[in-house]
Amino acid sequence: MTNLDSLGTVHSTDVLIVGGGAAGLSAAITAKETSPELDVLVVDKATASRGWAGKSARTAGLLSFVTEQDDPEAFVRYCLENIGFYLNDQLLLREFAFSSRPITERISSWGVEILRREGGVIDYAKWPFPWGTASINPDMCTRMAAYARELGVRIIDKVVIADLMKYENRISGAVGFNIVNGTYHIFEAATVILANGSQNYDMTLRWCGTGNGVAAAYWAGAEMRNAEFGNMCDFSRVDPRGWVITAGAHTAHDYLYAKGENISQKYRPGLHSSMDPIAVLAWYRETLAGNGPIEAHLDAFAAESGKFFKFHPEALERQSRILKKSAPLDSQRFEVIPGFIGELSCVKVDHQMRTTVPGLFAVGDVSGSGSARAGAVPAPPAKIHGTGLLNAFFMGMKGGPAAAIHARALKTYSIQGKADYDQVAALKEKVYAPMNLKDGISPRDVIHKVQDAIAPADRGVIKSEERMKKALDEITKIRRESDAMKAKDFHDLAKCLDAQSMPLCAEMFFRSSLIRTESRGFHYREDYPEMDNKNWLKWIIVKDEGGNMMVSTEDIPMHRYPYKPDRLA
Amino acid sequence: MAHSIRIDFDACTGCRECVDSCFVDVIRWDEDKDAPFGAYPEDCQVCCVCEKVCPVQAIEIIPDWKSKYIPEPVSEKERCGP
Ligand SMILES: Cc1cc2nc3c(=O)[nH]c(=O)nc-3n(C[C@H](O)[C@H](O)[C@H](O)COP(=O)(O)OP(=O)(O)OC[C@H]3O[C@@H](n4cnc5c(N)ncnc54)[C@H](O)[C@@H]3O)c2cc1C
Ligand code: SF4
Ligand code: SF4
Repeated sequence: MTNLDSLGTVHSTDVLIVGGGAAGLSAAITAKETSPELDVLVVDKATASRGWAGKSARTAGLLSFVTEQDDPEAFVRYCLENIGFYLNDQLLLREFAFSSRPITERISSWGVEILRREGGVIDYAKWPFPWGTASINPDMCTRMAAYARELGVRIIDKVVIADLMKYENRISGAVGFNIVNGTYHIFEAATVILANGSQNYDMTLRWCGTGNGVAAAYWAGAEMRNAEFGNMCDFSRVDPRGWVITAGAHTAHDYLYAKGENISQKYRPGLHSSMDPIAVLAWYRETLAGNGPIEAHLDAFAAESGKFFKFHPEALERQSRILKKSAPLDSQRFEVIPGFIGELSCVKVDHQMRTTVPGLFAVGDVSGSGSARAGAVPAPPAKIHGTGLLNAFFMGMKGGPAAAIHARALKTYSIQGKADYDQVAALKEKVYAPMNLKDGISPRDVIHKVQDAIAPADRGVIKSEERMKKALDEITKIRRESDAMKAKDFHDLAKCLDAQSMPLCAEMFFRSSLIRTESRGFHYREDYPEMDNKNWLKWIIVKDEGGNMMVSTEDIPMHRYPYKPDRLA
Repeated sequence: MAHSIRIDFDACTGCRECVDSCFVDVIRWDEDKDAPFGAYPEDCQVCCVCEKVCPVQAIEIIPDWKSKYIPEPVSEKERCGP
């Protein structure tokens, strides 16, 4: 037999976790707690061993949960009627609602600092909706990583996982490379948990998901679900000098003004918990009508929804540093343009966070909407600030133990993750191909082309058949071009993987969006502006079949769910 | 132009905190000079965490907002009126 070691460094483990943000670390801790005898290995392209990896290490520290003043059942109904519009997996949503308070206690026991009132009760801002928002120290992953290491979890930093390995129909590990020195790494594993984030198309600062996990799952044959909702969109500030600050204000959506009129109220009356496509529709329609430039009036915001946010002092300090860099605000009123964020997170998982490929699990932002827990929305937080983290903890705490039990069972039957020499060699050639090309398009150019295709408001948010077909044509061309990318070094090689994942994700988004001939939640179609419960209480599924992207629908098992939309009853 | 990652080498103690804290591989360690440097400033996300963790305030991020690639906010500009 040919020696695998001649190809790269070989690592063997029981549970391999790709990505060490809040979801990956939660999965690692709970997998190890479930089965201390198992080897649990986290691999991340950043420094996860110290808690500095992922969006999780850059949050505002908001953590929403169903407080003791709220009825979890009311939370479920609110989410169904106002956010997910019955595209939710209601059983998972219910479990989420009932477990949110225990989750706050569990993460505290891992060392995560949550601001509390005297007497130890968690402090939170109460929304006029069935939840509240607490404040945690944004250094939480530092604490979680230290706790995981104490339990014996191993963490390898600076390695980019490029692809998954399969043995027959099941996952048998993964391969990747060190982003600094380029060495090749082979991970043999009985079970793999993807926890490597969503797809943000490198548009809005700090929203750093590049969809590597979505792409890896798709290439391995896993089904995707709810890809048409991967379109969170905020507003970017236009500085008077013409600079665009894509920092994701998260605040402008209720306070948009055109020629002195509050157009947010005109299009979306009342108080909203966060952004959605209708806020963008207001900007778009008023701009088309010649009423631009559209301004955000943050002075109005401060007086109203400001009271729903409380921040940990560490989060405030980070924010004030960033604000100072973003060119000083001369005024609380400034021009805005839509700031696309993306958040495609469509890897389909069941209640155990299992994907449709045996041995492959997915937790956190990579499978946020694929779990269908939140319904017609992109990866959380979507419309509830502070549920990105809650979701990452929730999914990690479910997927970790399930993956451990799975790995333990395989061990009992001596089924180990084994790497096949030929497969590892072929993957190596594919992974390093952009380093070996003499010339080729740069990954950055590919990424800019994807951004041009998806980020404009009338493409990625306000959709129509005609415009989506144009976008798809562009994306198909970009996917072909991206076959000939040239990487200058290993940092650039990681960018090549991003630049392969981005057009693939964009294609899933547009193909799913074209099929759904209605509007619902974060999916808004100008040509089908109404919600259609008669025909569209369905999930859209995307899957690779022999190199073709196949799109189909799956009925939602409404008969099993306690709540039905009025129009069905 | 790109964002600039300015390091005060006289103050820097070489603790490598900034290298570890950067979540998008912007700051690297220069083995020859035995010091950190901004290897990929164009990828900087202006999160300022590197500044925050530096024990001696030796690192400073100076953003260049014009360097960020921004697609058109509307693809069909002609529909946008005057
Ligand atoms: C600026 C900002 C502020 C936010 N504020 C809040 C908030 O206050 N409250 C809230 O609830 N949510 C907030 N969110 C959302 C929240 O951060 C995410 O929902 C949550 O952190 C997702 O956790 P995760 O572990 O699934 O993903 P991530 O934290 O993104 O982790 C994914 C990990 O995978 C790694 N990775 C990716 N690809 C690869 C690869 N190919 N190989 C190896 N490793 C890889 C990454 O380095 C990363 O560490 C915010 C997001 C941003 C960007
Ligand atoms: S500001 Fe953030 S992204 Fe930029 S170099 Fe520092 S840590 Fe990295
Ligand atoms: S954190 Fe500060 S002191 Fe430490 S290496 Fe970086 S610049 Fe130097």
